[in-house]
Amino acid sequence: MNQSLLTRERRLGMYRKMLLCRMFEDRVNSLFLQGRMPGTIHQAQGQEASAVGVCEALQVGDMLTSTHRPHEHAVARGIPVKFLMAELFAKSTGCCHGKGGSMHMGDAELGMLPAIAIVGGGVPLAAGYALSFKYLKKPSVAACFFGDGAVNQGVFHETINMAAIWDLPVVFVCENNKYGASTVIDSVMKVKTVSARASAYGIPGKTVDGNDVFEVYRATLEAADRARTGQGPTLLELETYRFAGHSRSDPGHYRSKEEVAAWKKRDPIVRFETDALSSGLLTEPEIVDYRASVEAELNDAVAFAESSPSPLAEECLTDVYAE
Amino acid sequence: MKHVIILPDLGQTTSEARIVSWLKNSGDKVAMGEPLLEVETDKATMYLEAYVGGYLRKKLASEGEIVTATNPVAIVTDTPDESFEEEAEARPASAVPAAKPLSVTGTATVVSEPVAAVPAARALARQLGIDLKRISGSGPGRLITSADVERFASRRESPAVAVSTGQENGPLLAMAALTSSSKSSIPHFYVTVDLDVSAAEAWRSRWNETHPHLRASVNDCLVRAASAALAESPRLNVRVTNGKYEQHKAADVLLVAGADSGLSLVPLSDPHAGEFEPYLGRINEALGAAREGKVRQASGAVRPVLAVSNLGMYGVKEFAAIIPPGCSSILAIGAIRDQLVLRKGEVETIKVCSVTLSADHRVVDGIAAAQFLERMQFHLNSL
Repeated sequence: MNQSLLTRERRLGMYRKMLLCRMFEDRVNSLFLQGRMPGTIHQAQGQEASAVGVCEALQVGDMLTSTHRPHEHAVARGIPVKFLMAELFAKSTGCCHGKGGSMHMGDAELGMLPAIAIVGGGVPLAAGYALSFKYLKKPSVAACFFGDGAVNQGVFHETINMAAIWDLPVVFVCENNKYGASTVIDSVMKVKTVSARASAYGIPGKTVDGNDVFEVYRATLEAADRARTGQGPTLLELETYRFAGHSRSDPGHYRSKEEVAAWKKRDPIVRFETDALSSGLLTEPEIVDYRASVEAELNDAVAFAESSPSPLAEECLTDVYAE
Repeated sequence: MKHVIILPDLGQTTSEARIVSWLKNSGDKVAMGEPLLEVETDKATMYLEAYVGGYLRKKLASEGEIVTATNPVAIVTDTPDESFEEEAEARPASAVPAAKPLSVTGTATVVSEPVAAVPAARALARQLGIDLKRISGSGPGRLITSADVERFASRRESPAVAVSTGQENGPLLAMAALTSSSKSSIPHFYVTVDLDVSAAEAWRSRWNETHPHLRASVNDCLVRAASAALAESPRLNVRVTNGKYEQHKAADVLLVAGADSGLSLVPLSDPHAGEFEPYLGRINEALGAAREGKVRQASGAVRPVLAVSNLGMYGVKEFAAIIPPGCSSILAIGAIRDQLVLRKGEVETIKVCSVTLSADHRVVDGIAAAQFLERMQFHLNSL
C-alpha cells in the first residue's frame, strides 16, 4: 500500500509490535525449554504481520476474538506483555488472574475477549459482539481471528451467513497458515482460497499477503470501515505460515524442509527490516536498539511474572460466572 | 557459566521420553535454538533445542535411555574450557514454587538429609515400609508425591509384598497402590476359555486314594499345568520393566493367596518341575505360610511373570484379574462345573472350569495367550 499515508511513528510502531510479538514467543519457548513455564503452548512465530496488521486497524471499543494460538494477537492488541507473561506463569497478576493460561489470553476491557481454544469457537462470539454493537448503535466493530482449520466447521458457515443477512459489523479474519494441526488445507478444501467462500454468503472476500503488515492493515481497515458504516461483514484471508509446529509436542515432520525454508524467506519481520533499510525508514543501529528495548521489556515482564503471587485456593470459584 | 538443559514436559500423555540420538558431541559448539538431541515420546519423535547457546560439555543421558520430564539431560557452558560443577541439580528456578523443607513435628529424630515429600506420600511410604530416600521425586524440586511412592512400590523387585505394619489398613493401602499402579500402567487384555478338567479330576481322585495324607486339589493340578504350559510358551514368558523387555526361561508362578489380613503374593519356582509329590509339598507350604500371614521373603531369583488366582472355591464362574506389578499375565480360575457336551452323537457330562488370562499387551499378544491356554489343556489331559 501507499505507506506514505502512515506516519513514520505509526510504521515504526507496527514494526516494534511485530518484534514484541516474535520475541515474546521466542522468550516463552526458551522459558518452556528451561522448565520455568508450565503447560503446553501453541506458538505463532511467522504470523506477526497478520496479528499486528489487523490489530492496528482496530479502534478503542472494538472487540477481537482469538484462537488456541493467541499470544501474538494479545500482544498486538496492546495488552501489556507483563500481564500476558504472568498469565503464562499462572500468576494472579495475569490477564485472566492466572486461571486461563496460554489458550485463554485476552482482556475484554482492553478489547480482546479471552481466547477460545475450540476450533472456530471465537467466530460466533464475534458475531454476537457485532450484533450487540448494532443493537446498541455503537460505532464499534468485532474482528475475529480463526485458522484455516476452522473454515469447514459448521459454526463458521452459520455465523457468516447470519452476520451477512443482518449486515453485522464484523470482520472475519482467516489466518491461513496452510495446516490445521497436521492437515494440509488443500486436502480438506476444494476451492483454492478461503475468501472464495465469501461469494456464497453475498459478502466481499479477499485474499491478502498475510506476511506484509501494510497489506494486512489496509485490507482490515477497508473491511472495518465497511462494517462501521453499516455495510456488513467481510471475509479476509491472510496467507501466512507458522514457523513452529502446531504445539510444543508437534515436531512438524509433515512439512518439507524446503517449504519451511521458502516461507522463512518471507519472514514478515525480515521483510519489514529489509524494506525499511532500503527506504531509509530504519538504520542498522536503530534495529539493534529496537531489539534491545523489546528485550528489556520482556525481561521486566518475566521478572514481574516470576515475582507475582499464585492465585489463592479461595479464588478457585471467582471469575467463573459473570455477575 | 553453566546451563543445565532439561527435558521439558512435552505435553504428551506421558511425562517420559526416550533419547533416540544425540545430534552434538561433547565439546561441540551449539547455537541457541539448535537441536541438541532427538527424543521419542509416545506420540512423536522430535528435537530438543538448546535454550541457550554455548558448548555442550556433558551428556547426562545416553541414547536409548528413558528420561522423565524436567530431569537434566545435558550441561552447556558459555565458554569451551571453563570448569564446571558436574552435579546437575534439579532446576533452580521453577515454574511452581519450590518445596519448602517440611517441618517435622512429634518425636521424629533428626535426619541428616531431609527428604522432601508430601505428607500423604510420607504416610503411604510408612505403610508400605519404604524408605523415602530410595525414591526419586517427580514433583517440583524433586518433591516426592504419592504417585512416586506407588510407582516405586510397583517396581520393587520382590513380589512378596504381604505387609505387616501393625496397622490394619497397611495391606489395604499396599493393595490400593499396587493395583492402581498396575491397572493404569499396563494395557490389559483378556482371553477366556473353558478348560476340560475331567481328566484332571479323575487323575486327582486316583491320586487322593493312594495318597490320603497328601491330597491334591484341582487347583494344584491347574497351577502345575499352567507352569508346564508357560515353560513351552516363550512368547508369554516375557515382561517389560522400566522400558526394557526381559525374556524368561524359568516357568515360575506367583500365587495370589487369601490371607487373614488381605491378599498375599507367593512366588513358587518352576511348579511343573520334579515329581508331583515334592511339588505338592512345596505349594502347600507356600500357601500355608501365606494364609497365616507370614511374610515369605522371595529369593531374588524367583521373579515370576505369570500369576495365578483362584476364586472357584467361592462358586465364582469366571473373573478377570489385575496383573500384579512385575508380572505380564495373570490366570483367573473359576469354579469347576458339570457341563453337557455332544460327542459322537452321545450326550456326555464333563467337568469344566472357565479360566481368564489377563495379559500385558505391551509384550504379549492374543495368539500367545491362546496358545498358552491350549498348552494348558494339553497338560491337564496328560497329568
